[in-house]
Amino acid sequence: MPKKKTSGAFDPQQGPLYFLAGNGPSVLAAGEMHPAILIALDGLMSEDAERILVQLLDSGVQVMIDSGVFSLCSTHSKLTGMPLPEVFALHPEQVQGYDKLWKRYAYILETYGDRVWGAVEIDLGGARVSTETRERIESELGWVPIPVYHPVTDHYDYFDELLATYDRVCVGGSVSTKGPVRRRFIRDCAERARAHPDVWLHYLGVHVSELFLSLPPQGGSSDSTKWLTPVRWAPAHSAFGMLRIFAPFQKEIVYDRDLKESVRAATLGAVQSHYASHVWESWTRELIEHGLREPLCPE
Amino acid sequence: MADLFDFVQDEEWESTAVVQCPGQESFLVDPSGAIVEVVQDPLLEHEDAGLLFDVYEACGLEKQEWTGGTGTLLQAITLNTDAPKHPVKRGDVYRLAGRHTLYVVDLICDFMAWVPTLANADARTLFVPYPDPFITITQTAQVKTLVMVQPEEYLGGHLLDRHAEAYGEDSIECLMRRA
Repeated sequence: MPKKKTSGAFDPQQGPLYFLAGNGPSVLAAGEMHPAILIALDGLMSEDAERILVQLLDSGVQVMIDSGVFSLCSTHSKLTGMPLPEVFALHPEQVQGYDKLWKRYAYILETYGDRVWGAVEIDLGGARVSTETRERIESELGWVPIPVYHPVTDHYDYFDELLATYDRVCVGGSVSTKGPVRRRFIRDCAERARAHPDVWLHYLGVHVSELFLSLPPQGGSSDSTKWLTPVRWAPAHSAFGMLRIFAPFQKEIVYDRDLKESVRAATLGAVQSHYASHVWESWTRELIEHGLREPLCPE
Repeated sequence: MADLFDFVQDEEWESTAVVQCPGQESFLVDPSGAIVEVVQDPLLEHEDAGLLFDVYEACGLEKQEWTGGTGTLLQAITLNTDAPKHPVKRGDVYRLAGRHTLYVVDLICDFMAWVPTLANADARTLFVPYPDPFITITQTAQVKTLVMVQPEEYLGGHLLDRHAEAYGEDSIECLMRRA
């Protein structure tokens, strides 16, 4: 049975792809350095933000849309005092601001759906409710979002179901996990997906690192905000070797916030991530050329 | 059992936590303290934070927080992803800063090119496959000798570009150029 194609300007033959996650003017500068950007819907609520999206698309940047559920739930948690994991388990209609998010989600997909690389489903309320919401998106908007599997809370059977049904699947929930746990579930998901070599996996919130170099053959992508380290935590900014964090930069790379060099520091992060993405592609290509790995996403 | 271990609780995700015991296995536990699974080969705390302090110490580097900087190096380097100014080719070999070596060769098949350099290396030498083009402007590069293998001409060219911007063109010596 043919798998359902998720919507968007997606080429399954494209090599590994790392998306810089962010919003606002910094992604415009970043998009000039690395043409793959993820914007969460909460960063697309204003007309100014929409103009940035249009500029990115017009300049040929591949844009992935995240549903903005994390921000929505974080806000609900702060307003109500409810622990964040419990908010994620709520039915969408019970989360404050959901109606506004749904309308914006529908508008963005109806307006730019044929130009974006893909969009993440609205993954709220657990596997069953997320499936209902996804079916609503497909029937009302005529658009197939990329479903999300949450290794921490969803059963493996659900992952298998998604792999058997869709051409792309997101693996989520990594932002809230520690390194060892994250490494385990990424490895587990990649191994389990080997039975479906035609499925593209996207790891939400996972920075491109040496971990990806050892994964089984599978078309894949990831996104993170870690490219903003030169801005957020400049002293920890490091150079990589084979995508492993390797060596701390000299102190002179650290900007003084009074010098208002944050945009340049962000650009540095974007350039370095572009290099890292290039390594991921190159290493994968090299393994394929030497017969050590199957081509990505074979037809 | 938890009091025998260093309990690390993730503030953002309270349904599970990692219990770490230095030098041994770690466990993923639920809020009641029951072990959900054993986590093999856990990252050390500083690795989880993305900092290889063991490497820092081996290099004699500082670990304390910095309060900020002048950004002079950030100003000096070019930030673009265009074609590099240094047109390197597969097979080229470069000496940087009088001690680092950059091999622009295949990492898997061309090991005979760079293995002899490592065979004669001392304890101050670090092997860096697929080096970040910014690698020579790190603290580590100031106190260690780097043997770098970069199969990608594009990335090798950018490495030379960044190095030249930081240390000058005279700091780059071409040891071998493909005919």
